[in-house]
Amino acid sequence: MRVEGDLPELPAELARFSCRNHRLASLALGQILPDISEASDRLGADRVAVVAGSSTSGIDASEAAYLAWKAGGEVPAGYDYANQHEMGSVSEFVARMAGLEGPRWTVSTACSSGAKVFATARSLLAMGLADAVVVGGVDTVCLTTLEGFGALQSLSRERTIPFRGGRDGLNIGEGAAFFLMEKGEAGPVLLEGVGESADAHHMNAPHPEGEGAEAALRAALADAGIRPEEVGYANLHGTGTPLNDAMEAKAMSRVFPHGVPASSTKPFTGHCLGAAGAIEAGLCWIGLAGGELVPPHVAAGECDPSLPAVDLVSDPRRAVDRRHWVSSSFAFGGSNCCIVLGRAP
Amino acid sequence: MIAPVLRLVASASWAPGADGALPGCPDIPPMLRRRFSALSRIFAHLGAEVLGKAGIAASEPALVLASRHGEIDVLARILGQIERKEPVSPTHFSASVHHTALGHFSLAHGNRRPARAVAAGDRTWDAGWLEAFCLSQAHPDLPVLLVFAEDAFPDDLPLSDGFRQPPGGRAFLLAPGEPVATDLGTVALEPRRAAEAVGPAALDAWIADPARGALTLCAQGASLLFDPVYPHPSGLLPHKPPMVLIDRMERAEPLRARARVRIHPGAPFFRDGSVPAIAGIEYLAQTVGALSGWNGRRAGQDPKIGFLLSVRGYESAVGAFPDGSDLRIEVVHEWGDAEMMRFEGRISDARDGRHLAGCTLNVFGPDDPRAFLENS
Repeated sequence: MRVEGDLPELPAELARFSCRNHRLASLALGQILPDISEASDRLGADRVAVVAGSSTSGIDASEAAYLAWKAGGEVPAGYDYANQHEMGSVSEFVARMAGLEGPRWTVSTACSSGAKVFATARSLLAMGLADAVVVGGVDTVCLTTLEGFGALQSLSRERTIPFRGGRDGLNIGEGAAFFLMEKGEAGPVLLEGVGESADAHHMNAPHPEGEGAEAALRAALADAGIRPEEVGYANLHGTGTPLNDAMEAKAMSRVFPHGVPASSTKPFTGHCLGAAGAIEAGLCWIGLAGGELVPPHVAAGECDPSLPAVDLVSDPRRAVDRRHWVSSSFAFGGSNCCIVLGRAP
Repeated sequence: MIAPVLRLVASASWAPGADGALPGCPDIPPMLRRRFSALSRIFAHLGAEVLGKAGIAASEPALVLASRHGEIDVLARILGQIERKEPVSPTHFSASVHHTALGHFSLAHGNRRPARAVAAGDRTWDAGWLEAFCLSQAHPDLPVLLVFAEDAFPDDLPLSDGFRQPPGGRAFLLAPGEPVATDLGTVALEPRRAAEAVGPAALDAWIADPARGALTLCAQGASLLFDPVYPHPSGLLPHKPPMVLIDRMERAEPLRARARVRIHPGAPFFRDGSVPAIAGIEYLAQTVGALSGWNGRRAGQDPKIGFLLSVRGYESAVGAFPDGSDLRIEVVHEWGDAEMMRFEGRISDARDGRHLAGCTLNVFGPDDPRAFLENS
């Protein structure tokens, strides 16, 4: 699933960063640029950090350059490995576009990148290395991931419906989401907890019983200091692969034995890989700030009967009365990260 | 804001030998090892070395991989497969993510700890250290294995000639707690910019130096303060216990020093649950003395007697330091050289940085104290 329409051109002084990935990032970042500028003016540009998550950065630019070069043609004008493909170019681009001079780096742990960034950002604030952090993630559809997930037979030919019987894989998507995060309780939504774990099971398959997912969920709740019964909504990783959804349903049923309203929003966005955690945190943010209206699950009534029951939300107008929400992200290498967001009391 | 301090328990580095071979990693089961990328091997090799030196199980530490180019060679192979319209190898794809080495290390050793992979262009060195401190901030009980690793940059990518490099890596094992004699030292993170940016080579030289002093590195607007494990103050002062009042040296640069004092019922001058704040003057004076002793020791001299000539403007925000207090004693050279010197002294709460007391100290350190005493 690709972002349709034209992406913004980058300003001339940032032209060397110009690739689809960074232009996608600029589209999201542009929406909060006034807030970032305000924070930068108030706190000082060197006191605002950037922590960006990405799985593949601007690798698509290298793919195009490589294929043209191998075909004996010219490398596309404007191709720049260091400022487009290199993982660190994502955070560098965000900092340059926002005029920030604080610490900046990219966290890259595949599909958990966009969640882990919140852990890093929070520590930067806690240690006083920054007074505000621009935090988020971006990823772009590229041949490497399309062909790679194809080789693993993880791609669905259809629009995938996670947790449905007969689901046969994921749809790769692309996108970006960025936040401005500061200490204190001033904003409408709070980062209340982060939980990380590793499966130590397999490089590209999750633990079948969801042990690592369960550990990350429990760690996030403990970090937030809340009990499972206090959670109002769970944004599932829910990729639509047979293995992910099966293990995630098991983990959810153990952590939330009384159930919790939940959905996978990937049918709307595709699986945006390193940006997924940030995009799904963004959907939670919108829901929490807008009256605890939860994102629905497509075809919620068709849950695979062989899985432990998950309370998939079918009603797009369903609201919950509990202000703590969790969002899960699970990645290659058994890299798991769950975050808890809460509406400010 | 208090600078977090970690023990620097062990370090190791790896570069290819004459045959160019990657590390053998004999501790990794062969079935798993054959799936390892170059970075996975470098990470596993260096991880085993520093964990072995530290006597810490491989399942214990939280993990940080800092790599500018990540799995660039694996990606180049995948690009080749795409270009030749061959199926992409699932093994290659699984090993193409930036954090591949973390996943493989976790698999090999049953390590379920938080793990993060970072990149920041030519500032990846800084980012690795800062991320290690971030991980430690969130998980203060865990040791942190920090590995910097780069694969050989492939020949087969367009417009990337400037990045050709051999593979290589460095590892550091960081841990919470009080430093012990076998540690390489401590590293503290301070949110202020160091004067100059010095990179990995300075740290390598520091580790290799048996007489190492304090080292400050710049890391993206913050400072990394490396310190050796200092001798106990009784070895730096002419005083004899129990009149050695400071518990340990935390940092000693030629012209400034920091020491720590913990207030407990066995501490000199302790009565009715606290030590009177006036004892702070002696804590400051002994910190000046220990700094002088450390500077002398590095010049091959024994601790010498010094004299506190005067104290100006001692003010304290508290009347006494209560039982359980953890005090940070800081002195900074203000004026003078050779025998007559003036220091600014400051005492703060080591837990929250709160200012507790301070004054100016004028000291006299005769070159030949015995002659001075006999002639006066």
